Amino acid sequence: MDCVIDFQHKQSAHCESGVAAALVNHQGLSLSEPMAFGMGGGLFFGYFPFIKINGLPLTTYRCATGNILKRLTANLGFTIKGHTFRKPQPAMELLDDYLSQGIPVGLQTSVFWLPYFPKAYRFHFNGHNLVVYGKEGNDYLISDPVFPMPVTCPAEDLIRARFAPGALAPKGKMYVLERGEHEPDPADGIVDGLRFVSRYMIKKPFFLVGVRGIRFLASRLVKWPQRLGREKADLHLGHVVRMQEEIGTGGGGFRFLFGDFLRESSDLLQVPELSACAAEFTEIGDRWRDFATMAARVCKGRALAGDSYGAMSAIMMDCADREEQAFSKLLKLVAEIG
Amino acid sequence: MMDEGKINGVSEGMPLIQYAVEGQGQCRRVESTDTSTVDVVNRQAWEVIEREVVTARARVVAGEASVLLYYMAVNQMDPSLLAKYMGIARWRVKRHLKPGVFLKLHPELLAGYAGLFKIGADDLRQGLFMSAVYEKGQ
Repeated sequence: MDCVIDFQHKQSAHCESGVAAALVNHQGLSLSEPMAFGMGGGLFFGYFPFIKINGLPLTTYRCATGNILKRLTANLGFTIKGHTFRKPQPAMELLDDYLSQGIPVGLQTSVFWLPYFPKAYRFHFNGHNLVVYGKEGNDYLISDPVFPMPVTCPAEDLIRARFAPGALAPKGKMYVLERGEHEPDPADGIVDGLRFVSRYMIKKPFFLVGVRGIRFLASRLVKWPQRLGREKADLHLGHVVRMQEEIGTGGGGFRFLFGDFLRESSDLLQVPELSACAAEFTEIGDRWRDFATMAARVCKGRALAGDSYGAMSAIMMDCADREEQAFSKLLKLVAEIG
Repeated sequence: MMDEGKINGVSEGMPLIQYAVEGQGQCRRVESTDTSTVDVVNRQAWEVIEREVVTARARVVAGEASVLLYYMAVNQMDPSLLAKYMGIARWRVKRHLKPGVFLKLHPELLAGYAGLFKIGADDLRQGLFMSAVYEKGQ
């Protein structure tokens, strides 16, 4: 069965918001990646030391995988049809079935088994998202949003990637979008995304998430060298930076991406105050990036005068303060708009 | 200098999308091949894996463990992840790490391991050190 769906590939910073934007665009609704990310309520912070990834504590700058898509589609009045499977065969059959009907399919996969990924990214990470838009012989045609061009993947590798076990196991997860009957006002979606993220960041009474989570991590990080020894402290630090800057965050732990969402929303809703908030998030992203570059110098053993775990903790505390201010401003704005 | 960075960077010179600051504090979608910060921390994570591979290899050569230990390390797995991939219990994987047990492994299981690691069953039986799954990219 050979088939190719006319699907527009666009490179994005982040896999899930990129896939979400591309699938929505395919339905004839123009939407940028930052808008998909923002209306999907993608921004987050959480530090969960009791969940270990490769033996290192989980730090995340975004919401759990799958939630952006759920929230975005709900906000746009789309329905999302999702499937998971226990066995590969029906999972591949249904995929072929959708393709032959001309429907592009979103998949959750592991990156370890995808041969088109550069070697440096090939870890057992199961939270990746991509769109399959065709099949030629044994190869699937894939629009993977982090790549500049569409790619291909042999069926057997795709099966492994869809059924990789371990943390976040995709279990063959696949999804297609359908346009709903009525079209909600995009303004409501923007307000919903903003309200959701702002509340999560400053109103959650739990010390590991939001602004409190950032402060908690900052207070722990400063003690890492004494508590863990220098080498392990550097590994923990490097892990935080990877979650913040490695493929798919758009830099600054998604804060730049969020800033762009605010700027676009400001134009769309004609609310200039949002544009001022956008500038604040850009500055916040810069502060996160200051932290990352200092951390990289420390990990590389090329620390400059003034680089230390204490200094990094102070930058992070500054990020928390700025985010607290920016999100309270946003919450007030949202109350006025919505 | 730039070119050197491109080839050695995590994305192997492939441009990535960043939302970077431009001019008046505005965010803009830009394509960038500069991954210098990420390169450092990504390298750090690989060094941990490489150290584990060296240790595993040494133990296999010394006859303390079966070659399965090497393949597990080089493919970034631990006994519980490998067990899930194989659809067998973890204690069985741990048992297969013993050289004596591995020698008498059922051909079907051996083929299963070989298929997972993308190597020939004979290579695995002979205990050859072949490269990891991700070294066989396009």
